[in-house]
Amino acid sequence: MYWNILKKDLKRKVTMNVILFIFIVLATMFVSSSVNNIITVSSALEDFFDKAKLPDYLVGTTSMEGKQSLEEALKEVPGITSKKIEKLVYFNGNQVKVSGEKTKMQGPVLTYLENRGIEFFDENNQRITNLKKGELLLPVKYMNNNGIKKGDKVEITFQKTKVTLTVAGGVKDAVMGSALMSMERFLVSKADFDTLMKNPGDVVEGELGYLNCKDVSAVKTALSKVDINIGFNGTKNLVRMTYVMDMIIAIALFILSVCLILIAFVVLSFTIRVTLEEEFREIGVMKAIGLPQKSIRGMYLVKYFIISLFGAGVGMIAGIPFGEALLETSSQTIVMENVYGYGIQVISAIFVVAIVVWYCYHCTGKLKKFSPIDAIRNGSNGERYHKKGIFSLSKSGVSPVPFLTVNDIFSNLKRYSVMIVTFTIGLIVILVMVNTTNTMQGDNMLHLYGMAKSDVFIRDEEDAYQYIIKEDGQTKSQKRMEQIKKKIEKKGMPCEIGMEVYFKFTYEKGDKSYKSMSFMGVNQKTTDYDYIKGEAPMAADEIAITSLVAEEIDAKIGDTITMITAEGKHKVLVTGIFQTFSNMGEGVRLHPDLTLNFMQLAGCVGYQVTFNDAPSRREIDERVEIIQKIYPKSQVYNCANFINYYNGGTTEMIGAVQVIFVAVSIVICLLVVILMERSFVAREKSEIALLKALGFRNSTLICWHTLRIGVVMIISIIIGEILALPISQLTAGQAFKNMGVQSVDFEIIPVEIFGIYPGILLLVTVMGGYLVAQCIRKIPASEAATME
Amino acid sequence: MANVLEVKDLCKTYIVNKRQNNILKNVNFTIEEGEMIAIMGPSGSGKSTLLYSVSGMDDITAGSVKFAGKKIEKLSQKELASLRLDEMGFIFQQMYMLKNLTILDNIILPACQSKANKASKKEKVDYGKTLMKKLGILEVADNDITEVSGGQLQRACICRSLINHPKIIFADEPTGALNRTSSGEVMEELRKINEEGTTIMMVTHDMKVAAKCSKVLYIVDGNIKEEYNLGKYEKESTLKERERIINNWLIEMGW
Repeated sequence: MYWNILKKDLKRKVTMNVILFIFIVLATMFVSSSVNNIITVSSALEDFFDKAKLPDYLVGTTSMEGKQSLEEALKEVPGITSKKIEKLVYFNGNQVKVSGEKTKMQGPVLTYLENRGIEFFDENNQRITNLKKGELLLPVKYMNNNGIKKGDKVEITFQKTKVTLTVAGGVKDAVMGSALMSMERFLVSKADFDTLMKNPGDVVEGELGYLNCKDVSAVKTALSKVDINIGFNGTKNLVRMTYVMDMIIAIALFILSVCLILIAFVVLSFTIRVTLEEEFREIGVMKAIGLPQKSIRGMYLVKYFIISLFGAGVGMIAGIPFGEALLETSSQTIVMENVYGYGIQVISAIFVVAIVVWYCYHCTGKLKKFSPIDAIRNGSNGERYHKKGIFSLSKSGVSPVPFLTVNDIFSNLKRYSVMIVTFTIGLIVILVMVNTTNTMQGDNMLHLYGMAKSDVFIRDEEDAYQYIIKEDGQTKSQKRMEQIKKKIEKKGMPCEIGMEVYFKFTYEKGDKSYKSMSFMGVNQKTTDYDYIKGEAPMAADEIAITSLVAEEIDAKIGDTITMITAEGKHKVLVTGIFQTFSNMGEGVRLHPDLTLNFMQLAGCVGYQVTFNDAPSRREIDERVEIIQKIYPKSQVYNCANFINYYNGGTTEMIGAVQVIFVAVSIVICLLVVILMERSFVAREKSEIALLKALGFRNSTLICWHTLRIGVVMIISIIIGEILALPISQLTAGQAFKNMGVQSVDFEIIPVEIFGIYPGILLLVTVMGGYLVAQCIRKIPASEAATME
Repeated sequence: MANVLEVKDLCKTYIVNKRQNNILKNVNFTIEEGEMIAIMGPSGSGKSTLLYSVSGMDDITAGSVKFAGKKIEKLSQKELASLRLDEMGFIFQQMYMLKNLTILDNIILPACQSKANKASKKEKVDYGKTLMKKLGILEVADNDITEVSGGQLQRACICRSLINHPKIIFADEPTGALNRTSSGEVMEELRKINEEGTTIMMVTHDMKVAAKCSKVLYIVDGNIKEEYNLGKYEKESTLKERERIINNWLIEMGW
């Protein structure tokens, strides 16, 4: 008998049962893929470093006349338990062509596999153990940025030696693979390396030391005193932090996963509660005719168990490709493996079924308190503790439809809470990503990369070697900038030209010593940069430092410290503190009047063009094209594109992730609207029939239902807008802190934040609600006579 | 007296599980202005179907229904909705109202929606209160629908059906869910409304209710078998006699 009642119930309430089934599928899909994602991502980097056998400390040098090799230098450094040294060759992008074309790159470096200091992995996360002559492995990020595929031909030309190699695949490189490590490792076989190095010509040779140490600080201090030309150095922690841009995407997906889980459970709990409330009447009748409470409850538990079992099964299967798609976006440069196989999916499915059954058990428990007649009356017994309707039609000045809309929502806020929570989370997810992307593309980022604000950037490595990286580069580059200025101004674009160069100098105070990246803005004013404390350096013997450097050598504003360059020791006064992403917060700002031998340059950014006539963004883009024509061999960028290039394409990747976030949010909100509106129409069938019987038109009723969705969305937009910026600070702001920047002013583009994205969500949800509400047309007015 | 409703050869068919059920077969009758008609018949005879077909709530399969000179089978859904809003009133057995509105708000809702009703909002509210006072339920104006008795709720439904000054009120077993006392009270209100000139067509099983009507239509197997003209109900003292007459007549009809 009970089985018959159950079968008839499943058949009769098809709509609500299907809605519940779909929500269970979604909940399981989100929970299983998201939990898997969270577990994999949170341990991915450490696992990757372990697999790659990343040591405690890295030191990269460039050969310079008069300086000893790294091998010899390390003999003077105590506390190293083991070491491996790789040969590196720094060359320039003009020496590389892929399928006959130049590519976008930051700093190519040549090494060979047999000399490797760490383990490398291919795109399938397999360890790379050999490489044939004629083959080449490239960084995955470099391949993606340039559309390079396996099998493409790459020509590398050193002096007159040209070697053509076939791309054998991508490589995941723990040291140079991150977006912020502005180097691209070209991994070749020893045979090809030796061929190219027969006549290397204008390349810079160097070494990369992988050191395991007993005491990393002691090794760091000792290294700062050794006479070698260090290009970069850092602990495992620094390498970890260079992945912060890559991890931003993983973290963003982590947050998306958490939001999806939250939405799934909020919607599911509401749906279960609503469907059970509808059963109260039937349960009351069954109680009244004498069926035992246990049997009645058991019947409904069985029903929900069956629905949840099937739903969880489908959701578990659907969660597999969904989760893999989520992981793929963040696992391009890191070895990320699904260590638990499908175990997480199975456990998540079981968890969802358990939650559904537990929640049903909890809801049906309320029936114990009700007498049969109370249950028949759907839990109401005539007592009222607060006014049901909030507003009064007789006292309001509005027509029925807007009145019914607002009254329904505010009389039953709990009922609409699911949509409000979903829409608010959906909007916050979008706005946080948009704020982050806009900030990363904004002009303010240039300061955080240690550069002055500029409109256009011209990069040319050949030019750099010809004019800048010279003994008299400081004066030669000034003349070169004058030439560039004249050429650009001839085209009717009044401008100033500057340039950012950087060195690696040692700074000492007392017994503390630290080797830090040191920036100099040639033709720039030190007041053009931001300082969080103190003042800009205004003389050659003044510097500003970052908090990290201040901590390392225990220096503060007003202290005089020693700076060691190739020219000797200089006494310099600390005048200010600034912040930078470079080297995770390491930096010193030098005054351009300081005379230095530019042969000791660690690098330069390129020429920075700042227009004097305040052109619009569109005009700047047009000028970029003009300047590109003037300098066809150079790479010319506007500010946003330069920042994207400078952070290894991360901004573009985050932009792509933003699109995913917007799409996922829209789809989730739409899905919730469709399912919720469908359930509302099913629940309000009798009210709709009554209103039709009273003479309300279909269009009026559809308008009422659609307006409710619109008003709920507007409430969510208001809440979302209020919370978006604080949440951006908590999430993306934290990521920026990890990169060495304590406070970031988020770039808010009002038309996007207050117009476009909320507008898209509003439009999509209202359209969805409108389309679903069309089923109101099918409810006949005569149904008012047969309603219960 | 002009005819409010003219029904000619009305047929209504439902298809259930691919089987054709002819619920109404060639129904013919007219209702004059000011009449109070009762439709009686055994269960399943098509009483409620007849009510909803002639009021435009349900489509008809064949035949013609003329309401105030308009053929309702030729009207669009929009026009039918306007007709129901402005020219008809409905009272259902189950006294259904919108649960988020107070009693007064439920009553004035059709008036606020009607474009034909040119009165101001205040006038509509005042009229709603007037109706409520007339029917003795003004004190529950601000109550929720769960806070009133069945009789009060049905009287509120009567007020709602009158708010737009309809030409006719259709009532489906208006006293079906009420106790004897409340039934009597509600019927008395309907009688007074009819006396003021509103035409009423109701479906009922109750002999006492039918006895207060001026005409009774007996429907069997989807067809009006016979109609009995009782004449206008004047006073209480004639009620028992009228009941007896209807009872005998129905027994003759075979009920």
